Amino acid sequence: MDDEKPAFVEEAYFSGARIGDAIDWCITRQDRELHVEVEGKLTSTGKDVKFRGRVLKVRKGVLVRRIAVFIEEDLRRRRAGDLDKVLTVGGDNSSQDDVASTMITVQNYLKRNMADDLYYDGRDLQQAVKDLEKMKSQEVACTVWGRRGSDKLPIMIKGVIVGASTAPAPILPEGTLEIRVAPEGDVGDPKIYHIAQPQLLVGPRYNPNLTVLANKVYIMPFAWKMAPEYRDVLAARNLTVKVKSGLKLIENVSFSIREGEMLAIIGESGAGKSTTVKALIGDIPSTGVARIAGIDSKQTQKVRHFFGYCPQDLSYMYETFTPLENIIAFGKQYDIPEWQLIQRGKTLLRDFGILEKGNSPTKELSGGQQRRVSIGIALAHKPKVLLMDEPTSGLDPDNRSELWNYLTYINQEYGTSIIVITHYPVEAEFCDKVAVFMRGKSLVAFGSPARLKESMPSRGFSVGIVLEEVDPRARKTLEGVKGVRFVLQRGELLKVFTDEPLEVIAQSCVTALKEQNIAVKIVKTKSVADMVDYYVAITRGLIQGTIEK
Amino acid sequence: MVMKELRLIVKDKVALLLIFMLPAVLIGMLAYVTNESGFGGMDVGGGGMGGGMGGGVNVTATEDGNETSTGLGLVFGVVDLDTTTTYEGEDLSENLTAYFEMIVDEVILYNSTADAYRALYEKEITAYIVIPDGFEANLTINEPTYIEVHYDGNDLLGSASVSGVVQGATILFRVGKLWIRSEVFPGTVIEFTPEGGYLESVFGAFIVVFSSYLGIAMTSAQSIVGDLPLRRMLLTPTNRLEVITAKVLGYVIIGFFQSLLLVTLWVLAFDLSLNTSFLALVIIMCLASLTGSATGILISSVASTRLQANQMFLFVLFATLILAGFFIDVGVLDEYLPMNQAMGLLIDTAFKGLSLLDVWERILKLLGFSVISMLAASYIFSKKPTLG
Repeated sequence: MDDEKPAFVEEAYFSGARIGDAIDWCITRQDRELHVEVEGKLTSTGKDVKFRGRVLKVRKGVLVRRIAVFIEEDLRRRRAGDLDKVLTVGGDNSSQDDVASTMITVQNYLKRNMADDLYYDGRDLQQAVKDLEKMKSQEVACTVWGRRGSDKLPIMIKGVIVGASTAPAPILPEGTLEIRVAPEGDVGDPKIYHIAQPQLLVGPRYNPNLTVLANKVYIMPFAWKMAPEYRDVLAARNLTVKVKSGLKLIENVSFSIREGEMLAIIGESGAGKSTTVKALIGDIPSTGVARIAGIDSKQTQKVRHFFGYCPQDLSYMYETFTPLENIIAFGKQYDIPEWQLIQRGKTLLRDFGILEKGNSPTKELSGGQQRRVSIGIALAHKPKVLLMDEPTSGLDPDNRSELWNYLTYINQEYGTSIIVITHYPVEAEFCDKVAVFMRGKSLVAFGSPARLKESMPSRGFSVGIVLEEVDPRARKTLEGVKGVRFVLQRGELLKVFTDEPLEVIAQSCVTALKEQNIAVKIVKTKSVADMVDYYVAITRGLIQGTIEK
Repeated sequence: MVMKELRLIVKDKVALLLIFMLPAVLIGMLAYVTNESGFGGMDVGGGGMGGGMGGGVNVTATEDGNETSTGLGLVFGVVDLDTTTTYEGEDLSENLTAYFEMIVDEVILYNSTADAYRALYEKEITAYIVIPDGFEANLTINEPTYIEVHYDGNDLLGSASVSGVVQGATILFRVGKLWIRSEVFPGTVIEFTPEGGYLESVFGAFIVVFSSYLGIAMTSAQSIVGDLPLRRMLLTPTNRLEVITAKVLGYVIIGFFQSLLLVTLWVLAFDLSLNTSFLALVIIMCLASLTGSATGILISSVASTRLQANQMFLFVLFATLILAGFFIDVGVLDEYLPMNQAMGLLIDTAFKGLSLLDVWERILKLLGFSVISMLAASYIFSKKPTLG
C-alpha cells in the first residue's frame, strides 16, 4: 500500500550535524508528504542503521532536535532484528533519540500530506489526550514504545485506546492513556495498560506491571477503516453484470489501475460505462472481482470509505446548503468529526478557488463552481479513488479545459486516483489509462493512450492530407489506393492509415487525388493519431482493440 | 443526519413559514366557521369526570323529530329516580322506559346516575336517560316535566341518533296517554367535552390531530423521493435504516413545534379548559406526528417519483378521513388505525381526563405502527438501487 517513490521529487541532503537545517527544510514544507532516508547508528546497540520512511513529526527546540519517522523500508545490508515501526532521528551526537544520524536525505513528494496518523513524544502525552478528545473516532489504534513501570525494561504494546484523560501532577498536568491489548493468538485474556508520561515522579498509580512510561506514541485514529495491502488501487477481474432477463450488460471486464493514476472510460451510450462503475463500487450485483484499495466491492459499507463519487447531475447536492455545509453533511457520514471536516472543507474550497463562496448557498454559484463543490464533497473523506460520471457533459470547451486542470491538480496534489467517464475521446489524452467500451462487447481496449495509439497501423502514424475544400469523393479515392488500410476524415483533414512506408503511400495518395481533380492544400507524411482517431477506428471495427494487463 | 434533515427544512424559509402558518390558518378557519355556525360557542361541556351532574346547560330538543329507526346498535341506559305513584294506572316512568325499549336495541336500567355515567364512559351505552323524582306526580297534575338525556359528545354518530330516539319515545309516550295535558321536555347534557365551546373543542380536536398526523405525513411523503442528493449520500457508509430514522425524527421535531403552536392556539383562541396537562397534550401531538412522519416516509420509500408520492398521499388522506371514525362508524378498524388512536388518545385525556399511563395501550399502538412503518420503509428502500 505504501506509495512508491514518484518520478519527480524535491531532494535535499544533510549531515547528521546539520539536522537542524533538515528540520527547517521540513518545517517550510510541513503540509507536504515528506520522506527521509537516514544513515546512522542505533543509540541502543551502537550498530549501523539505514532506512527509508515517511516523516511523521519534526521538533526543533533549544535542547531537542528530532525527526520522527514511520519506517517504510529497512535498507540495512545485515539485519539484526526488526526496527521499530517508528524511529526518532537525532543529530550525530544524540543519545536521547533512537538513531544518531550521520546522513539525512529528505524528499518532498510534491503532494499534500494525506496521512491521518499522529506521533507524540512520551512527554507530550497530554497533547495526545487533547487531540484524541477532538477525534471522536470509533476505534483508535495505538502503538506505544516505553518502559514498564515495574522493572523499567523496554516494552512495546499495540492495542486500541479505551480511555484518555489528564490529571494534575506535581509539576504539570499529565496525560494518560488506557490501551486495551488483545492477546496474541487465542492464549490469555486482553489486558488494559495504563500509559503514563515519563516525568511521573510519584510512581505509578496503577498496577506497575501494566503501566508503561511512554517514550514514543504512534496513533492511528481511523484504524478501523485502514485498507489492507494492495497492488492496484482499483482492479476488476471478469466483472459481469447480468439483468434478470439474462441479458449481460457487461461481460468479463478486466482492468486495473495503480495508485495515483487517472483512467478515462470512453464509449458510446449503452456500452456499459456507468454499469461498470456501479459494479465497481458495489451498487449493483455483479459476478467476478471488483476491488477498490484491496477491498472487495461486495463489502459495500467498508469499500465506501475508499472512493468518492461525483455524479454528472449537479442536483445531487443540497442547493440550499452552502458548499461547506454540503461538505460537512456528506463528510459526517464517514464518521469524521465536524471540526476536521470544516478544516478539510476550507482547504478544498481554497484549492478550488471558491473559498470566498464558502458561505453562499450552492445554488447561487455558477455551474463550474458548483461542479467544483461537488468534487469537494467527493474528496472530503480523502478517498483513494475519485469516480466522476461524465463531468464535462454540457460544458463549453473553456469550462471543460478548466475542469481538467482541476482534475489534474487533484491527481497531483492529493495523489488521488481518478476515474472519469466521458463521451469525449479527446479527454482521454489527459489520463494515464483509457478503457474503451462498445455496446454488446463491453471492454474492447484498455491501456495507456500512447500504447493504444501505437496499436494502430504504422504505430499510430498516418499520412495527413488537408484538402483545399471538403470533397465527398476524396475518402473513397484514398481508400482505393493500394496499401491503404483505412481513411479517417474530419472535415478537410483526411488521415490515411497504412502498414506500408508512409512516404510511398503519401505519393500514391496525392497522385490519386490529382487524377480526380481534388485540390490538396497540405500533405504531412507523419501525422500523429489522437484518441479520437483511435476511438473512431475501433468503434468502426477498423482495428482490433488490445487490453493491457 | 438528523441535523442535516433539520437544516434542510430550516433552510427552506417558505416551507418553514408554511409549516407554522398552517396551524394558525386552521385555527383561524375554525374560529370563522364557529362564529358563522349556530352551534358556535355552544357551551355544553360536562366538565369531564364530574360532568353531567349540573355542570352544563341543558338544551331542549325540538319536537319535530323524525321516527327513529331501530337496528342502529343503540343501547340506552335509564336511571329511574321517580318515586311518585300518583297515577292509578301503570307506573308512568316505567311506561316511558318501555317506549325506549321499543325503539332502541337494548335498555339497561341503572340505580344511580354514577353507574350510568360510568357505563357511558366505558362506551357500554350510547346514552342514558335520567327520569327525575316527581315525573309521574307532575304529569298527573298537568304540570310540565322533564327528562335528562346524557350522551358522549365525542360520539358524533351516536349523538345524532340519540335525539331522534328520545323524541320518538316521548312522542309515543304522549300519544299513548292523551289525558296528559302538559309536556315532557327532554334536556340534553353532553358529556366528556371540555369546558368551552362544543364545536370548538370537538372539531378543534379533530383538526389538531388531523393536521399533526396528515400534515407531517404530507411533508415527509416527499422527503425521500424528493431528496435527490440522498442518493449520493447512500454511497457513503451510512445505512438506510439510519436515513429513515433520521428523516422520521427530523419531521417529529418539526411536528413538535407545529403541535406546540397548534395546541396553544386551539386552547387559547377558544378559551378551552382541557382535562389534561399541556405537556400531555404535546406528547400526544408528538406521537401523532411520529406516526404521520412514519406513514409519510413509508409512502416516500414506496414511491419512485414525486407524482406517485402525491397520489399515494392523497389516497392515504381520503382513506384516513373516511376511516377516521369521526363521521362514519368503522367498526373494529377504529381499534387499529393510527389517526383513530391519536384521536382516541386526545379524547381520553383532554376530554375524559385520563392520564397518559391509563391510555398506554393506544400509545403502544401508535409507537408500534411507527416502528413497523419505519422498518417496512427501510426494507423497501434497501431494495432500490442507489444510483437508479
